[in-house]
Amino acid sequence: MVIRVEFYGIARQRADTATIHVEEDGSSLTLGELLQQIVTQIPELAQDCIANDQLQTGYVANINGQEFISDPRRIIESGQSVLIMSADAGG
Amino acid sequence: MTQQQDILTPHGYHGRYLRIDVGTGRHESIPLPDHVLRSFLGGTGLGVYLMFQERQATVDAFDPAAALAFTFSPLVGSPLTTSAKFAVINRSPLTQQYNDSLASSGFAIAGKNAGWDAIVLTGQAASPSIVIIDDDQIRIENADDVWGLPVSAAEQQLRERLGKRFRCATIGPAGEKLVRFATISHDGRHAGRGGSGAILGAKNLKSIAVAGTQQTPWADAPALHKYSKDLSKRSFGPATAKYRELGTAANMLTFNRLQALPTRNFQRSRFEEAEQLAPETLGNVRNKTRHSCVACTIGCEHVYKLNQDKGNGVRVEYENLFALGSLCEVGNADDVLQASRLCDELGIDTISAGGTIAFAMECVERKLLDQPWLEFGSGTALRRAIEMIGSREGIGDDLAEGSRLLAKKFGPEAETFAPHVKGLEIPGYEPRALQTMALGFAVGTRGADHNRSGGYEADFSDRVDRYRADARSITEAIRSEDQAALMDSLILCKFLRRVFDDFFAESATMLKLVTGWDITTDELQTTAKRIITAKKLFNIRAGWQPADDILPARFLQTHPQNDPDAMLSSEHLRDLVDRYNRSRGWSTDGWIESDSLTSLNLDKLLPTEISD
Repeated sequence: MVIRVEFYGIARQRADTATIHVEEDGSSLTLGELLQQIVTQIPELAQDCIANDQLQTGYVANINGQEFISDPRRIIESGQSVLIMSADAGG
Repeated sequence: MTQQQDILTPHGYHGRYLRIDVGTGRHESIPLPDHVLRSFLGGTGLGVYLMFQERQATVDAFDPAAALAFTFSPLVGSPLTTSAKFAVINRSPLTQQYNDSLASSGFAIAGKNAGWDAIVLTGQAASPSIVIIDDDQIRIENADDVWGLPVSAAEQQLRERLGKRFRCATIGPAGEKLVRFATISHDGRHAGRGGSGAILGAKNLKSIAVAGTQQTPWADAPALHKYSKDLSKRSFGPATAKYRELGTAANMLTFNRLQALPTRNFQRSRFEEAEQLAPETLGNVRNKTRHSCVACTIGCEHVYKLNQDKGNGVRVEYENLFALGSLCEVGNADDVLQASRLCDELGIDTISAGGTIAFAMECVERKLLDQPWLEFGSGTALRRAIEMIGSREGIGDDLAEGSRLLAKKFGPEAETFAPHVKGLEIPGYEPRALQTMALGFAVGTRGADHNRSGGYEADFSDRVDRYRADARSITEAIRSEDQAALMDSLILCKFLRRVFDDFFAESATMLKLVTGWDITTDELQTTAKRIITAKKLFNIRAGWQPADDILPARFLQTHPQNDPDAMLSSEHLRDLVDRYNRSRGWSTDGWIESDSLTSLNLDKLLPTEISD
């Protein structure tokens, strides 16, 4: 399975890339597992973005630009895009 | 200050405000008793109280009797980060309703040190003037030498004339020409929304200059220093990283991806050229510096150089990029930055400027307006339109009235897509895709407002369904308004809000350390509701009707062309507003009943004939 991960704002700054792909056996994985895979690929995100398989305060995740999610047990399906972005949308 | 006043005045306050009639030069010191200060705090809270005191609800903004209030707060001058802020309060020439706007930096500290908790200007000077307040010495001087100058040139000249001790709040040419969305500027920051700059212009005032030596004591200085140090430390953390490292412009790509970036006068919610305006791109191709307000540890101001430009660069904010960029479909960064700088120099609110120009561009497209040069995507047209607004030349004279009055001129069809609520142009949050924010826009006392309601915060979370607002959205909208009312009255920068675990509890701590009040979280919750209810009451007296709490027809009848899921019907929004009103303790239609006034003590705090 392949999941596209897009980074926005500070997450992109920390990751130093806009997009990665996470490839795994099976047809789905949880948000917590996905975050673990992201940190494996980009250790820089372990500092203040992702800790203990969860997003730190200040970051949120969204599926396909539609639904915001935070539960680490939430299932992510193959082919979906997960967006990691700053939680604060103040302008 | 008399001994009696000293006893009655809490720490952090002077216990009085200065009222100046700029027509006669007469000025007076008016006491502010402890119970009033504790009930309204400062900033916008104290401001709405003063608007009642000055009986402004039915006074036209350009009438010489109109009052313009500058308010400070107990926290101004303290070591608390981001506390160097002031509020400007008035009846808006754009909305004809209650208006407040905030700005930051040295003017707040200098104004408070002059010995006043607020400064109220009334009357009309006979010729261009500046008001100079130097502690208790007040004088009005001729301003012929700075009249007509752009903001930064006028500020520079006033600095040379008055000396560095003074801090000035100044209008640009747009304020002088009574542009209904003119700003008041100070040191590169702007009290932006609602047209307060036009009121200063109507009074023939180019600037108000303040200086003083009267610092207020704090109730527990050692503990306040300790708390402030800890708060500053927390403010360096991840909760403010977005503002520090990218600035508010970081919203650009995120909103675009979420189909929440207003584009082409809200016809669309994605902009193909957003990447060119994003800080991630701008930062790679331009020199950038970072600034901060006085007494701020966040430093959100990102200033970019224009290509082939030797000037000081342009401060870039999300709202400028959205309003002058995607909303007008201008994707060339230099065009947008130049337009932004033009607004700053003329003293024009970028959101209302972009909203009104984008609306006019659509009117041209629909053949309602015969100005063929004014087309979407043209940076040249954008800059020309802004210049014409600033001078009220040609079509600029109509544009300077804002989108609501312009639409009335073009008829019912135009009114369906004029992008405003209560006359205030909608900021950069697509309400059909962010429906908690849509509710916040509809009920906002200032009009379409992302600063007095941060409903978008809930929309950017899993606490609500941003495409289908429900009871949770109402709860979130009220929570957000209450928090904003308290922050804007303390006054603290909203970019600090995620630093607090429990903002109301920490506010009680801050107030106790500064003022000595033994204040509780519950009392502050009531204070926030009192301030919001007082603003609503002012609007009712100013002519508000339930039908005003609505979005334009475009938002209730169509979806953005690129996002069919983003639908919000008028029935759904009406239902949300009705339930919001009941949750506030008001009638279903939004009228304030006497029980609400009594429970918030407004029947006793406000002038009798107004609160009846």
